[in-house]
Amino acid sequence: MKTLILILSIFLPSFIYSQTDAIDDFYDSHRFGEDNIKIKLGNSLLTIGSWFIEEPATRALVRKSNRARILISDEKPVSRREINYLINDIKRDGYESLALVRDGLDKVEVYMREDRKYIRNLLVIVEADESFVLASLDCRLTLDDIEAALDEEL
Amino acid sequence: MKTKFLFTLALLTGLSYYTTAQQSVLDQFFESHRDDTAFTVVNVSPKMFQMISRIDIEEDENGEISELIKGITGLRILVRDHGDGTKLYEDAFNKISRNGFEELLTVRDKGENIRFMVKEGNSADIIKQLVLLVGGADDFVLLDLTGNINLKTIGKLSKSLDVPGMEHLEKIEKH
Repeated sequence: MKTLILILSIFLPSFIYSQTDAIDDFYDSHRFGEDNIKIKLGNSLLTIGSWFIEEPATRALVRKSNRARILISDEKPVSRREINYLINDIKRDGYESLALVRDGLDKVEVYMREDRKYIRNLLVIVEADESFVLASLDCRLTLDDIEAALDEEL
Repeated sequence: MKTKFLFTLALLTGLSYYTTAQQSVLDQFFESHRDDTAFTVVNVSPKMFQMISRIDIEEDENGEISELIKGITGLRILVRDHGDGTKLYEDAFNKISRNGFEELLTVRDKGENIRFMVKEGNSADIIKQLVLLVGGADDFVLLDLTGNINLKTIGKLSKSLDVPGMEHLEKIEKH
């Protein structure tokens, strides 16, 4: 029994780490493309950015975000196969689909991962004929945070 | 005894496959056109409706729209706004009408055929599933709404959700 617990404790950290590997791997595998635009905003930058936001709820929402990443691929969009692999992987990681809208060759998919009452990750995948956008947000938001920010904007 | 048990088990297994096949005709129709670029596809998951239902809607003074959205568990829309939609309309109707749906309303409006089909819920005004079929000379719409849906207020949803095909829901209230 002790041996079993010891073996499991060795593998458990790698299992937890691998939960976010799918999106990390995707960013890593495409970040060096010549025609790709990569934007990464860490916690510090987001906090600094929030200083310039006047609306309090929107400012609070930005401050509760840990990391934002955007990958834009213009000339050579990502293949359908790679996108399908990514979607299958993130679903295994606990992401749930919120919405899908496709009009001709243009497609937008939104995914979310929750942890009890908090929204921990948001992912938007945009595919068009000649471009691809992947935007992800690591955060710790509640629906009240989102509602308050929406009320300010609307 | 053993033979009876095996027979019962086989019967139950077969029934479960049959039931699953019955429910998935609509799923199959959506799946078969999901990747067809001639169509516009909208799919809003139950999770999204759960989230929306917890957010206050400003224009909803009476709370009717909030109640309506709380009862919705899924929305799927398939739209083609070019080419003859009549054949698709007939094909979809033939498939769907054999799977437990009752016809609620049929309207012919400016050359378009509009059909509402439902699966009943717990009371006369509440339905579990609403399917809207529209077929005309140059368009086709298939809308599938699931949940506990109040027929008296469903038309208001078309104003709150600016989604192609939803405007036809107002016709339920008018008729």
